Amino acid sequence: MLYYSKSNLWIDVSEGFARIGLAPAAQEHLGDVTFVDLPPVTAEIAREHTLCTVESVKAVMDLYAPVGLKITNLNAVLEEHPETLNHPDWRQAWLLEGSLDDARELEELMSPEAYEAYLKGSSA
Amino acid sequence: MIEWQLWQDGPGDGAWNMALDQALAEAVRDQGHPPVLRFYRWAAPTLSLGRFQRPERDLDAPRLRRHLAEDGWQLVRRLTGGGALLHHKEETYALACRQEHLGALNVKESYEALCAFLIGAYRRFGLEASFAALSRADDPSLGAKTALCFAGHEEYDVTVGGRKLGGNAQRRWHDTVFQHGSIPYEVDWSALGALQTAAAPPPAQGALGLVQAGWTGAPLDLIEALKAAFESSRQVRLVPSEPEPSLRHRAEHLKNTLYAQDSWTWQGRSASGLA
Repeated sequence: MLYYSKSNLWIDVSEGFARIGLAPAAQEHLGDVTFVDLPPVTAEIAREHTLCTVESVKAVMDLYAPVGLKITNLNAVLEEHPETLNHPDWRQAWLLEGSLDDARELEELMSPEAYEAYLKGSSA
Repeated sequence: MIEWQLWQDGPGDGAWNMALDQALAEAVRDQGHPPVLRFYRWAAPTLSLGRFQRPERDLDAPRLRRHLAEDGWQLVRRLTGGGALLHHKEETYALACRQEHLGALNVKESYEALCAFLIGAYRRFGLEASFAALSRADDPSLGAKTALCFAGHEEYDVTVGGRKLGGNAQRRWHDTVFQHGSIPYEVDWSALGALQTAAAPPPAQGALGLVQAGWTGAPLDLIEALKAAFESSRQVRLVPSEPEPSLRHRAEHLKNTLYAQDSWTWQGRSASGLA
């Protein structure tokens, strides 16, 4: 099931595991990505704590965990090709995967429909 | 009209300059400190690395070590990204504010908005200043990543006569925006360009400094022009101030435990988790 955060991350959840990536609005906000500093596999990151740090053409920016999770897998492509985070197919623009700490935290996130309405409201 | 604090520091060593920048950013981020525009200088020629640069891979490291050992250079790692910069004959600025002070702008838009004061100040001296997106619109190398900041051009780099003048970079946390940048009087390409690896020769038209662009004023005139242009472009009032003692204390701690540490400077590792 797909969820979105207000910080424009998508969270694809299946059987207690989540894959997290950049929604198009986050890609637009960041600009061209040149480097990604990901946490180590097995790291445990609480909700709202720094998930990773992304360097784009003019800024270094922390991204924050939309849910608490234990990291199980990183997108290895990003080491050599960080620009993958600017991929027009948002499914390609993923950062990492992890097991959820508490599935109830998903209730704080938005469905695709609610996210679409949120984006329209933000730009109004 | 919103008030920003104005800090004007004398020359500092590299680790102190970077530590005070981080302490300032933290104060705005964590303690609701008012927005600040800071000007400072460097006590010795200092090469600053981007947050994730690897000098052993990206630069001619043996040559860099010789400069550090024999020429009195210092080496620091910034909290911001981008390429390496040699700070020597220049003014440097740093600013920190909340997103609310800028409006709902993305990274590039905020960068453009914040750098506008540099262009405004340079134009007060009759220099033909603009963003690279306008002056070098046909340049196919626009946006290419380079190990040295002055060797590359991004859309919102500041140019004079089509050549890059100074480098600027941002760091962001939640809704806090920090940016610092260089305003060089002169750029010494002979020392800086030699640090590039053989695979990355300097561009035919490299960066320049204000003097090389034809500016003939005094440093005090430049600072006054920068202050006036900042107030005008941001529609704010600058109020002379200085870092509070607690903020200076935090900067001393960051200097000693992070910015003066080789593990941070050379490898970008923060054993203390401070950056």
